Amino acid sequence: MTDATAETTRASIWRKMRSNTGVVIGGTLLAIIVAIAVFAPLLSPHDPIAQDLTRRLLPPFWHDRSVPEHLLGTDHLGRDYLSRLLYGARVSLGVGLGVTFVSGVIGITLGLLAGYFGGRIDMVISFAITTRLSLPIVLVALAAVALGGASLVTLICVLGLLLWDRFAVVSRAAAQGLRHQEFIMGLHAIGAGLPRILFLEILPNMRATILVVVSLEVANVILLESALSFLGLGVRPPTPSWGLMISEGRDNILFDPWLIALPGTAICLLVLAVNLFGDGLRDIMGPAKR
Amino acid sequence: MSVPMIRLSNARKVYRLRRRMFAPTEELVALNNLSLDVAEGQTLGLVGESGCGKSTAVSVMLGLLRPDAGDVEIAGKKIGEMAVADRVRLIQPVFQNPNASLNPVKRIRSLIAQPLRLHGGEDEKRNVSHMMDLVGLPTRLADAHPAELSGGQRQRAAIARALILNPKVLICDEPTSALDVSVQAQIINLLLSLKKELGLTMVFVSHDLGVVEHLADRVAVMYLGEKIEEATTDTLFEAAQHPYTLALLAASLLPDPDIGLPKQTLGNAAADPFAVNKGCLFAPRCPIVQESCQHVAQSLRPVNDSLVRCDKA
Repeated sequence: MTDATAETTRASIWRKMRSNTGVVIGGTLLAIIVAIAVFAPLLSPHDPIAQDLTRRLLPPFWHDRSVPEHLLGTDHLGRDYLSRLLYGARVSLGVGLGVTFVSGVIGITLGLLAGYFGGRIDMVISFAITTRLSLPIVLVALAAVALGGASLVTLICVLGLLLWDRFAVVSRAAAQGLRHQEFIMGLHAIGAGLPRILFLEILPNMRATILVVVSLEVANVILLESALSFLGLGVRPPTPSWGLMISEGRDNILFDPWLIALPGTAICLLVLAVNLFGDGLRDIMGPAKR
Repeated sequence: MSVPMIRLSNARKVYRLRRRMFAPTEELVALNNLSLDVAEGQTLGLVGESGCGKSTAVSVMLGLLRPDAGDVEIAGKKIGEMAVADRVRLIQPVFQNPNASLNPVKRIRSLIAQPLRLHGGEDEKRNVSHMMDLVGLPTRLADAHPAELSGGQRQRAAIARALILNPKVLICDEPTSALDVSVQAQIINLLLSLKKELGLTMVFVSHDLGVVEHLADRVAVMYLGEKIEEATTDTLFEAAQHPYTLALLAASLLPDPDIGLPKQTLGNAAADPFAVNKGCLFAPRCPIVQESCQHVAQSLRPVNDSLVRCDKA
């Protein structure tokens, strides 16, 4: 009986998802980009970091001078642009999800503790949130990268340690709203421990909100990664990253604008997909709809 | 008499709080040396207006709040010294609002089974369906979320959850006040039959005197953290002694439209827990107040078959 009902619930969620335009468009786009990231080695026609200085700055296919081998042309070092774009999806998605995971764990834990206990603990954590909000992310990232050296792992750690504020604020508010509910007192009366109450009872009550924050954060992080890579603080060359590609194409913006337009479009599409998908999911899973 | 199932002896709980920022802290005496005895199998009705300390008394009895002074004993053991697992198997609550007392994201089956999962290990599936039968909840609702149930069904689920570990004591904190009148009767009858069937000892907190009269064997009336009158239900409803109890009884609505609204005897002001005088706490609102009441603290004394905290009664 459990399975049957669970299946019908799952089926109804699935039905709602398919009738929501945002989820359909965003989800399809997101699925395509994820597939590209996963299967990048199979899809790429060339090695993304192999240089061929004799074939520099070839234009994409719609241009007269284009070469069929390089569908989207080559960059200033003669590297295949399509392959670099496909591999770039890995960096963007990996950083986006990795950072959101790290910051989510930190932010949700702090927010739940602050909201549930209130009082002095809340004061300390709220102060930490304020402190964090007053830190300029780019400057702190700059300093951290200067100390730790630019690498994907450093980037994920630094951004993860910086971007937990939204999770903390949201989960703090949710925990505050729930801590005086009778079911919390009931849980004490049946001897439930603190971690259980926080993470297994309160947390599931705010999954819709968390989902929205996740989608906002992933989009935000992807943009931030691009910006930091553009500034030379993020991913180190020759790793293909969309932000880095824009940065490298900067010098040729006048005569070869696709060098910037292509990775720019990729970033734009990915952020759009994440936002559409997150918004749609919130509409479906919102407590009012259940 | 053997050891009472529930014994509060001089339980005292004081909250210190500021009414404004930077204001000096003030003391709010939520429980003022409250003593209660409930014999096994008996039901005690605990009545009083909002803010009189009923809910604090519930938390103290459940062992969720440690009294500042005095003892709480359940089945002869101090609740503060009891292991959590023992306490949980001995005493369980049913709360006022079944919308808030069941986690909205869980299914009824796991809500009812949760105490078992935390402490039991017995056959869960059989137990859950047995409990659902016992409280009159159709088993097809096992996989529903609380929001899909009616208020009465939710309260039945809450009762099933409270009873699944076979506790000896059930503390009901206004279990009917959030329900429709027709459903209230069903829940009360359910509690009565469960009490008989399982031999439960119950504390029934309410401000609905009609419900208390129906359910309780003894009634204790509280005012600003003090017990001001205690008697058997029959005695209290026929021959109440304390002026506050009389006013409470006069204020309850009777199911007869011709009678009209009851006459207020206490004025419109509510009890102020901060304006504590040296004498009788009820003096500011008492209809039979005398000069001496302002200065002389009242103590419980037996009048006929009741215990009354008033020397004028």
